[in-house]
Amino acid sequence: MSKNTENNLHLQVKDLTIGFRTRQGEAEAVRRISFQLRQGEILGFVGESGSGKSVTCKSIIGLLPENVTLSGDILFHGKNLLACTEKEMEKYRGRHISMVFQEPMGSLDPSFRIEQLLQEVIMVHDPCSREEARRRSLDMLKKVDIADPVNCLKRYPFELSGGMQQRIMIAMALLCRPEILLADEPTTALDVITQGQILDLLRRLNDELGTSVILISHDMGIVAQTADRVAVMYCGQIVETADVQDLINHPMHPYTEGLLASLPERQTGGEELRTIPGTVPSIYNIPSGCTFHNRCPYARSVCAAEAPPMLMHDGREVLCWRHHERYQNG
Amino acid sequence: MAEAQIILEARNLSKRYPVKKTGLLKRPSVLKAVDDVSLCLREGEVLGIVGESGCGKSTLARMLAWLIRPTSGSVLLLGEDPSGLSDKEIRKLRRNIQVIFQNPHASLDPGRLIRESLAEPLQIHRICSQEEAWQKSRDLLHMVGMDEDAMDKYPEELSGGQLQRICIARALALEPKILICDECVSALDVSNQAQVLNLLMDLRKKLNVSMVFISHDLRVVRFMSTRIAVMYLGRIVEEAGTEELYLNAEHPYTRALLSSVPAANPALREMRFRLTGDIPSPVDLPPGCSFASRCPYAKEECRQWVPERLTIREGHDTLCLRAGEINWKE
Amino acid sequence: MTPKRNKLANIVRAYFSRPLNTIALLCFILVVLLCVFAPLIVPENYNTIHVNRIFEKPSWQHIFGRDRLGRDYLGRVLFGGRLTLKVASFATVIGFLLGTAAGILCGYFGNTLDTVVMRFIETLEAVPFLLLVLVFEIMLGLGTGNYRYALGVAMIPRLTHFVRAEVMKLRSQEYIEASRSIGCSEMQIIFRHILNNIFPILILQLLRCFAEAVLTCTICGYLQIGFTPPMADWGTLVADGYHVLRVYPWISLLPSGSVILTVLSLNLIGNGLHDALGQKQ
Repeated sequence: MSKNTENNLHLQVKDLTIGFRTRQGEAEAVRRISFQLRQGEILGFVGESGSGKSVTCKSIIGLLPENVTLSGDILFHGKNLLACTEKEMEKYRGRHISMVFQEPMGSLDPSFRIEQLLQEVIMVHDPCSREEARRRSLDMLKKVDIADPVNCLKRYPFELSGGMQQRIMIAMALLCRPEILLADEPTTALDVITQGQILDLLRRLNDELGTSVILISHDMGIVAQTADRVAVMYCGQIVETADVQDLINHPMHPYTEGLLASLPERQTGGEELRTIPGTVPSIYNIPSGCTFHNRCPYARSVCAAEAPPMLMHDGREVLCWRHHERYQNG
Repeated sequence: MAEAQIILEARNLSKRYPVKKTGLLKRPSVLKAVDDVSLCLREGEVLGIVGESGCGKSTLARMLAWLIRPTSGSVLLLGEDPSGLSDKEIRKLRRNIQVIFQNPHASLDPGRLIRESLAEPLQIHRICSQEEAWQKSRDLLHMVGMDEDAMDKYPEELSGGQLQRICIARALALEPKILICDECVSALDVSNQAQVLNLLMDLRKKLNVSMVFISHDLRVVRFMSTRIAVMYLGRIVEEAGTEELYLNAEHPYTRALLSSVPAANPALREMRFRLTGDIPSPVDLPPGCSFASRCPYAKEECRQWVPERLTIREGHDTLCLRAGEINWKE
Repeated sequence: MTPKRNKLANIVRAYFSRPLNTIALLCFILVVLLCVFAPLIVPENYNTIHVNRIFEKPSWQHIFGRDRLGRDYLGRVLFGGRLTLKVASFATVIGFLLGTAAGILCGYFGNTLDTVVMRFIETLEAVPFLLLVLVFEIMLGLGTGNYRYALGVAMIPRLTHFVRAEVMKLRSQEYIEASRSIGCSEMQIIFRHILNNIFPILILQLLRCFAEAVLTCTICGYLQIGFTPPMADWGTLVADGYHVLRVYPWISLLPSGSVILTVLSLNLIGNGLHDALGQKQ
């Protein structure tokens, strides 16, 4: 457990709550979540749409809209990012923490060449000569497996395929060697084969550069094959965190269990898929007690009445009464 | 096993689109969306079609349902070729083949109540009275596992999973013999996806509909289909029974596709076979095998000859010059 | 959320939730009622000339006063409005029906029809609207009867263009394809799905066209095109008063005020409806 000492922690999120003020009233997209990101690890966030994973990610880099209320702490090397002013955040963004989005096309300004886009990132954070910037850009393009980097520099974003664009996005994000890379559904817009390539690339860059990665996806398969540790989100809460192998082989939370069982990868024709009954509740109408109780096959009276506390056991965290009791009884 | 009757057949289907090019003297290019595809669907079968975006699978689906007309080749729907029929006869024939589209939010008229959308097919074909139509829509809703109170809602008030159920109900209103599902679960969350897949499987057994199931997600296709056709750049490059395809894929593209599937289960992740580069543009393809540019096993003749469809084993066809030569164990 | 069935009631509620919308609608209704019931309201025939009472100031009997021929000006303005509104609504109906039909056909069926019609329409659109009205009028021959046709026909190109774009947006929606796959014929698709979904937009366009027609009609009247005396629409009245604007300002200001009131209230209604319809979606 020595790996968990404070020095190894890049990012510590404590009791983060994110609320939205909208026309329909106030709603909490994320409720009191805590997690840590250790040095050099890939932490995967899995959850269905509306579970709050994307919002969590954006709150770390300070990219949430105006109508949002935030509370809790996001500690980056001991500094609380939530207390930072916009000016201070700009220093962190790109330099220490950077982000890759789902839609690469929408995230690259189509009126600049790739070279200009990459140079801009370098110049903002780390001004240097043009030759130096060019050399660094080329280096980075090679790192992200672009076959003909010299030619690629001259192109405009829309001349490249989706996979190439996403590579450029990753290159831009990693140009200043940030400690943390946030990848929000980086492969959702891509095809299976390209997706495989990009995930391999993330894994490799994580090894080579030691960048910690937060990988967000709705697909358990993607997270499972890429991440070291996985946090499962449901309805604005992290319901379970565990090392990837433990989580897949022995899911503790019933929701995790359901998610894994509803993947069609194990069964072939004939057999029914196990499903989670019902639908994800709206954030304007969150169930009392344990948020999952109305869809949970193991729910009992206590689940509807009272929210379970986080159980930490053996390096795993789980938010479920069932395990709480079992653990207390030995 | 006696061969079931063929109810849908495509013979050498092609769809070409002229592509406008800027420039006065350039001759117009041709995009081959679907190129010389032959397939057949037997009664009770689920034929999966899998491929990356832009491979022509959606165009193929629309041609099979006679929503767009092929440039050449023919479709035999229940043994009849719709190309010679009048509009009225085509509409009558089309009752037997229904399509479920990808985006459930866009597939229902936003200005109409669910009840109106459900009853519409019955009214159009003047199958029954208004009263019976309402009753029948109610039955259909029950069949897809939904409550009656959805009848008087507008599509915007329902979630994606619910809407997809309604689309399925609507498609089944005319008691079709064939259902074409075009990426019908891609827009859904994992738990909804599993529910809809189960529903389709269930209905298939109950109503004995045959399906063409199209998806980019191999896991889903594998779960649903009895036979799978793999498409690449407008051609079917491999076609085999589901298990056969998974165990003994002969086309390098199929292999790559299979090994790119993100899998939670590490056992499914053993074979690593990644392609480099991106899918080339389908406009003005070079001669020879369309996959040769990315194929690690491509030889000189692959770039010269278009491979013939080759039956390797009973019910297992492939479109590769080197079929059977490659040792996959390496 | 409680499911709300009656869409129309929702829209009406949303519309009247803003006082400005209500005021605009009331103003417009007032203008229309006054013009329609003008014969019952006016104190005397609007064409009766009283040579000894020219430019009489507004009084309780004749609240708008008298004009340069001593005619009752309230009657002049109300009957002028009657004429303007009549011409404008006639023209709007013609332009709207033809323009929408052409737009739907071009947008839905596309291909050669679309190419031919659209090139023609684009050419017409290059001509300023007022000029187009004049050209059509000259082509049809001057006179009140033809004038309204000219105005209507001139409205077609822009409407066609607009409706065509909306229909094309709808045409590529999956539900159109879905209804084709359940066996709808093209006409059924147009009437059941396309018209139904562009209906709100059409209403807004109708209001916009009407406002534009009133304005154009006034401009033409001002330029003395279209009507022959003693018929007078608002534009003619404004022109009449122009020379005496310093001395007898109400002669110009009253009809121009009416035009402004009408057009402004129409635009405000359109705006309010736009927001009310938007909230529904």
